[in-house]
Amino acid sequence: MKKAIHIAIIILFLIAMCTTEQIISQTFLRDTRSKVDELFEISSSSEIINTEEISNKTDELEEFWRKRESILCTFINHREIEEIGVEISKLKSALREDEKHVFLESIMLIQFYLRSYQHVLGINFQSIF
Amino acid sequence: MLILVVRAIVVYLIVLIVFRLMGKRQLGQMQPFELVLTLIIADLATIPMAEASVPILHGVIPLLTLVVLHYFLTLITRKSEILNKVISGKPVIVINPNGVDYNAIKNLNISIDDLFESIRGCGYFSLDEIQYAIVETNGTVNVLAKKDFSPVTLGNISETLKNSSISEKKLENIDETTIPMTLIAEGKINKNNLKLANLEKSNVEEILKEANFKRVKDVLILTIDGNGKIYIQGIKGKYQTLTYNYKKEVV
Repeated sequence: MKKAIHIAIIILFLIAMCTTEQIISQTFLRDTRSKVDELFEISSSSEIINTEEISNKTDELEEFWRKRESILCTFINHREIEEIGVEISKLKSALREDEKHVFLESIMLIQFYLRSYQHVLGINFQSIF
Repeated sequence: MLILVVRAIVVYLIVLIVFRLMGKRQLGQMQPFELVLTLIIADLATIPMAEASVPILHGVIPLLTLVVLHYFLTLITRKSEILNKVISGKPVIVINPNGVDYNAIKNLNISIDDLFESIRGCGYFSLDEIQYAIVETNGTVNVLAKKDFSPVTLGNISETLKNSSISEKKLENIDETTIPMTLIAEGKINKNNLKLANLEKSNVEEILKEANFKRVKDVLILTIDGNGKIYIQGIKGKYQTLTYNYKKEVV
């Protein structure tokens, strides 16, 4: 009986952890993606990228990602999500240099990484096998 | 570095809890699936301990999943005889009164040398001292010696003292040792053993009646040997030994 209670507690813990992971990771990645998409739309339609609006949006994205990255690290291998941080840093330097194509390239890479993480972390057969 | 120290402590504590929940079996007493679990647990525990970039949950979650899996697997093997055989296998007689059963050891994938080593570990150095040797599901070999090579027990001594004029003839009348067969285990009749012992369900009912048991469910263990000696114990209470008028030969 005592053992059954322990097992029940473990099962509840596992369910709680799996659900939390799914909710947190999917929400964070989705929110980040919408911010990145927004930044892509603004920057691709603008002639020069070194504007206040794009700069603010990039800072916002960086701040947003930094806060969530530490939480995501509880569930995901740190090395797997560091690429997004690297690309955000590249965004900032491209913004300073006003290199639109580098800026857009980094945004597209971030979009690609976010899509991949969403797929890998989501519940699907490909990830199981 | 400090992170690795903390991680090592956390993982160690979790593995400790995992092994406590898995039971008190020692390495040599493990069933095949338990050995597999132990190996996986050892591997899983080292990943988050050695790599700081891997979240500790990546080690903890599979570890706890394995504990749950092990619990249910043990539960299933206890409830279902068929699944128990599939998962844990069944004991195999490798030496019988005719000698070494070569097919059996070939099927078990063990060599004669391995068998000898295990037998020597049981304290027997010659095959003719052995009546039966059984390879258990956890891989250990248990030996039943022939009567001339069996260790003297307190029962033997007291019998000798009672019959101080014990003659050679009396000794010859003692039947050759046979392996006791489990007819009931944990409230369930072992139909295979019943068949091997050439017994019917009605015989078991007779034995139960003699031992004052109403239902098979109430019996924890019931064994019978070739001499009809019965060992019976209920789920609750002390064991009893009886003699059943049983003439048929038991394997």
